[in-house]
Amino acid sequence: MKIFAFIKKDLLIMLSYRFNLFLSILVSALSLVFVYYISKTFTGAMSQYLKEFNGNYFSFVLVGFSVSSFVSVGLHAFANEIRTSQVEGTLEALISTPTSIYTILIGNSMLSFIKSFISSIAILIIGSLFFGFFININNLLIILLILLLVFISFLAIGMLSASFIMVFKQGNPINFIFGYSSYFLGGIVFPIEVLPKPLQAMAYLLPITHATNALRKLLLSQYDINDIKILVSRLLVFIIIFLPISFVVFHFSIRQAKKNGSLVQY
Amino acid sequence: MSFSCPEQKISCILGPNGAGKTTIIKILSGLVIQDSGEIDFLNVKLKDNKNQIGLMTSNERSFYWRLTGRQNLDFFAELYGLTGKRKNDTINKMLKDFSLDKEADIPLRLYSTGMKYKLLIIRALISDPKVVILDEPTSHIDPLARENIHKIIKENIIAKHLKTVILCTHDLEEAQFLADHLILLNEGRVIAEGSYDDLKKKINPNIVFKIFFVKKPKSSFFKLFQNYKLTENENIVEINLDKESLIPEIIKKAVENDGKILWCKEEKESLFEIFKRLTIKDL
Repeated sequence: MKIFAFIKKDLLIMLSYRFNLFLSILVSALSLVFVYYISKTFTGAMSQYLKEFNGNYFSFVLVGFSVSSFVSVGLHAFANEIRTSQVEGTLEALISTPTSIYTILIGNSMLSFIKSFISSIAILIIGSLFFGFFININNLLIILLILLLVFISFLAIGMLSASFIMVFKQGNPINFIFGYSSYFLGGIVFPIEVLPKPLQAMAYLLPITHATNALRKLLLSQYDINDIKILVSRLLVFIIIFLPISFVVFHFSIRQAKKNGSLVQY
Repeated sequence: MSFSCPEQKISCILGPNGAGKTTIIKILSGLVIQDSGEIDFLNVKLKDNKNQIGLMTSNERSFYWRLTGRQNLDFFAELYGLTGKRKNDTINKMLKDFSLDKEADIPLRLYSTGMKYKLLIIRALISDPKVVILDEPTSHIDPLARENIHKIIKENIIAKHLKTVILCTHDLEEAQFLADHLILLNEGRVIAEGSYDDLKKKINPNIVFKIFFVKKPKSSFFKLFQNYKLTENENIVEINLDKESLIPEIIKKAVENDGKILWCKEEKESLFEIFKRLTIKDL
């Protein structure tokens, strides 16, 4: 599989920047410590919005963090990889091989997605080991399914994002629509119930809202699979709508860039 | 547009800026889609035959500099569908053929420009394509490295690996030295195609034969060739001939008529001259 060739290549490149790898792990760890102390500041002040989650803000944010890594990867990985390949000059060499542009795009970003996946799992394991998350075997499978659905949702968003880079080179409305709104409205660091009703309605259009909600219900409130079916189905609906649209838009953006000869321009 | 490239020979695409050379290369390598029509390559639709084309550009940055030469080749070989033992054997053989086997496992950022150019050529050959496209293969390199690349193209790509080469260059000296077949483009059209001699005949079908006499032959010599355009400039006599086979006869007659020859040569027009005359005429 050609995708594995991309993953191997990116893994070797990542390992060649050892100090950067060390720093990125350190930064992730420090961000957890940062949130831990923020949550400690408010220990004892039970928020009505966190009642459902035992009032534990740190656990609440930890689940939000586990999903949020997909947001930045989904939004930036494809577009950044395309742009980096254009700037570095590797895109021309890649396209001249008998490899589909989809394989090139997904292959070049796959390690970032895998890292996000591992990071999400790692955060949840930390939560389960040190902060009282309860993960039983049944939950584990559904947790992985939810993370997979978030992964696919942001894969679709990432392809849309890359389409704009392909055609316009700079300026990417998808980042604005899904990026900032996901961080702000997706319930990563605060429950969406604190938002005004119109913003809550917008939040329900974002896949991350349903993913964080579903994971929290499973991990923090001991809901079972039946209770989160509706949330999972919303994620599925998002994928069913957006994934084909992303493929079509990306296909046309590639065609447009190939027609006007701007594929490797930046 | 249609042109042919003889098998296991070097064909060179020439043309002024904007003639369409780069567009052809980009279409062949899949970077650009043509406005209309289909690209047939080896009697098969090009998109189904990409494995048969190896592209070498002069862009050293088209590799991953944090990886070694071998790791780069390993990655690109997999994109060409090579796996396992076949992939490793091909890479090892290529590295040996191009004398890069000793440096294969050092990071590419430590390679000299000449070594990176060799790796660019290896990458173009890795899938064992029938046709290798060399796009400006010696731009940005010094004359010694350039001579080395020329040697590699002739001795390695053509003679050893038996590839058909399409060369795209602005360097007419390089084209004249390397190419067996020339394709001249202007404004997106093929305006002339053939060997250097074919193109020369197109602008001037006659052969210009020059003789430098230490002592000019008797007038009877000039009478013998009075039907040909003959010009005298001090000791140099220039004769326009319609066939090359007359040359030995001319030399023989000049000597028989007491002429003493210091040197004689068939005057060849440079590729630059041919290029200029064909493209300006076409304009």
